[in-house]
Amino acid sequence: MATIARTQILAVQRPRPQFRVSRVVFLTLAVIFTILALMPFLLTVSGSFKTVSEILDWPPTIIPATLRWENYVEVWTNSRYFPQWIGNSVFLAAFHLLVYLATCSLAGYAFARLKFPGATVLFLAMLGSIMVPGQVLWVPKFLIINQLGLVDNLFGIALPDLAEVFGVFFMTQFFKSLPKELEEAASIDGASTFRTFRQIILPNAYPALAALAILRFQGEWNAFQWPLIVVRSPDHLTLPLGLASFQGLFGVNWNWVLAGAMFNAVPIILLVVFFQKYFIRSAASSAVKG
Amino acid sequence: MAVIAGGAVRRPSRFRYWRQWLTAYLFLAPYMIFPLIFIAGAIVLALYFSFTHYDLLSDPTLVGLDNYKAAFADESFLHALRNVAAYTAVVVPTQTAVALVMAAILDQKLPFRRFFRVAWYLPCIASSVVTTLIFKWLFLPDGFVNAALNAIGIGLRINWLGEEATAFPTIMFMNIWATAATFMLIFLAALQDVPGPIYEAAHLDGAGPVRQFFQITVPLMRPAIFLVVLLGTIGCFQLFDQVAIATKGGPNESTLTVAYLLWREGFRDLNMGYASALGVILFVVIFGVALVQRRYLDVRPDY
Repeated sequence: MATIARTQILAVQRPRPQFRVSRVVFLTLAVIFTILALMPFLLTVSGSFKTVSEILDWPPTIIPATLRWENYVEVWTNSRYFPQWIGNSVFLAAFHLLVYLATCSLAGYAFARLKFPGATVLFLAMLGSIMVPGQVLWVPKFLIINQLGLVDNLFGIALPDLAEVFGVFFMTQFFKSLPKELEEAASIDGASTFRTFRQIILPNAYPALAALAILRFQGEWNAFQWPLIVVRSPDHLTLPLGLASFQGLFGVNWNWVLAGAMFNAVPIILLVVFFQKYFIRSAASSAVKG
Repeated sequence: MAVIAGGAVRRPSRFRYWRQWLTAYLFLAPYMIFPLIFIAGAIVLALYFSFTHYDLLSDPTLVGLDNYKAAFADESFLHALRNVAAYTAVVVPTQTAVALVMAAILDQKLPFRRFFRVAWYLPCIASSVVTTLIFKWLFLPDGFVNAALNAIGIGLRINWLGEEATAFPTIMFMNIWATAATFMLIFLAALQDVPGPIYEAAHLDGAGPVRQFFQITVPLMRPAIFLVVLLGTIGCFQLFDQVAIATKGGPNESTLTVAYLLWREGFRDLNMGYASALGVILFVVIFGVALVQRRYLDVRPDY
């Protein structure tokens, strides 16, 4: 608490350089960065509306001569499995959010508040596991799900993803920040630990759970490496895998590739723009995971 | 610490400890089962299989250090290792510098700073598949990048991802574009902890904003810079998505990375033992580089 108060006071006192020249330089740089960041997306939107012949034009046009909405319909109907890919990705994200948020908030609460032998060792072991690159585990993880008969199965993607350690750290930190008085009142009333957790603690954790949910949705919705290893058949692909396979499928029909990419990018972009506050906070702490 | 009537403090009995522990383990179990299998178990299996020949069809046979010896005699692996080292050496310093500048700009009271923050962050939230496909399209011989070059008078039509000389630099650019803003967020959080009076003193001493940035902000942010360099290095050594989607290691293996080679060996050619050994070596290399960086970068600021 003391440090928070200190930073706030200092933040107020901090003088800002008011030189006009430096502000102009900063603003110019900011505009250049913005153009660099947004231009590829804007060109993608424009490309996704172009006709097959216009997209091959040289020099390329920035604004399409005619807006061809049909690209979006065709990507949906011409590639037989496109709706299935979206369905698979939605299923994976929903399954992950439901199960992962429940399991890691329970575990986070145990680490934050309950006393048990081995707590420190377990926590440090999980922290250390962050240093192990995911790719080291590709082969053994594949062999395990092969034993479980889950190769080319959506659960072969979903189950190993539940081992993600970041959420547990995130929830542990959050539960530690809650005042202890919350549970003390409940335990005087004789409520069990689980009931206290369910009825007192969890309702106070909604903002943290929302932030974690957005971050994990992004991770699952965009996942590429592990699904690439697990699934084979065209109807089991996720949306990112399906999009990647588009390149070969149509001899690269770019207006369809770009229209298809919009189905992957737009939901996540909307989510982040609307829930910016939650997202930026959790993203800064999740960067520790990479 | 329940105080019972009469003033005696009730101490929890041994039975109550056991109940408490049991409750804690029940809270942990639904989560812990997954990392036990898919992280702890997988690490043990990775080590075991790295000492075997295994092609999924016949039983694994123990071969001692053969896979490790083979790796260091494998020209493709050594080439991939050199590639990721060069890649890291270019990408990490560049993205760290760009992220630091972005954070410093957002820390000013500029108009539209909330808009800038979201706009700069968009490349980081789109999936690697989407951003790679977009860049592949932009960098086509008939694409917008060549068009932009022509517009400013450089009449080249480069096949960026199809030429040995330009393919890897294009992927480097792609990745800096896609990840710099993630690290910007770390710097932005750290900038908030730099004490204001230091700037005030510097301002009174006549130091301009550029000098303040290099002589105050950068030194005080060393812990954050270390974190960003470390995370960036770990990420760069694992480069996979852009290579798998855009170039498949080509042209002529010029964009081959350790992760892509590992995938090719393990899941295309079914050399599971050899792929495991490559993974273990990759881990050791990343860990070693991290230790060296810690030695030189992780110094607490004193103020």
